[in-house]
Amino acid sequence: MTAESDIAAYLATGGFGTVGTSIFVNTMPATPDNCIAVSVYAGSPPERTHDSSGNDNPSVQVRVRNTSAGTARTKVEQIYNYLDGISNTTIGSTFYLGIFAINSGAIPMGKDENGRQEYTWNFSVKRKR
Amino acid sequence: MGELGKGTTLKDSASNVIGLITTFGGFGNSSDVLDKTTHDISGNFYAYMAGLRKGKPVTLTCDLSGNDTSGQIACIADCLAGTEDTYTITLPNNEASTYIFRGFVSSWDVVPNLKSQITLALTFQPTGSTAYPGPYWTT
Repeated sequence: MTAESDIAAYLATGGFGTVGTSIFVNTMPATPDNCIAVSVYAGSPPERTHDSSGNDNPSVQVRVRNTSAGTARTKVEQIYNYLDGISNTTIGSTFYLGIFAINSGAIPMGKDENGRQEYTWNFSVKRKR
Repeated sequence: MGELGKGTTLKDSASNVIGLITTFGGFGNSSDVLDKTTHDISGNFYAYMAGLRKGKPVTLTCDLSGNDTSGQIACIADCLAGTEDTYTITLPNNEASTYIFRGFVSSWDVVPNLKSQITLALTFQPTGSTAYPGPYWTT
């Protein structure tokens, strides 16, 4: 599985929603109003050893949308506390050496065209290939 | 032209490979340099001659793996015991050039990094002569 799919499933395990219903991978559909999107973007180069394919270092963005600005802010902070600092953990079938927040503090994205507040938080991921 | 170094291996005499190596510090020899300048040397330039030769210490860094019992973990045990062995470094070129030395593990260091892999650094001290017989690459 991809890093974003694994993390979406991990968020579901943590009680943040259901993948495909309120947690989405690489997309944020128009509905429902209150949802989470987990998207991948480029991270630092992969690391190799002389005899193995080494580790990948993708980056992942978690985006929270909610009709309540306060709820959106609280939820993205909860996700930060849930993901940041994960170490030496198997998620899905992949071993994750670590998940680290790239930024301290949520990134406010403002309200979308329907008046729903959005926040994002970015994470760097280190996982075995 | 040249070739990429990825795939270089270090094996002990039983062909056990040290796994997950990320950096090789290189290998080679050095020679003492002896001053043989005399009062009556011509041209007023110092003169030197080669002294004793030695194999340079071979350093490498690995991602620490407790599963690599015959490689990394054996090296730690060899260091603690002072065990000597014959080691072979094989380059990844098609001709598989080798550097062969007798020596021992003179140091090991485990570094638990906060945001990256735990690493193991090993240093091998050659003793006596070393051999770099080739065959050398042609590309």
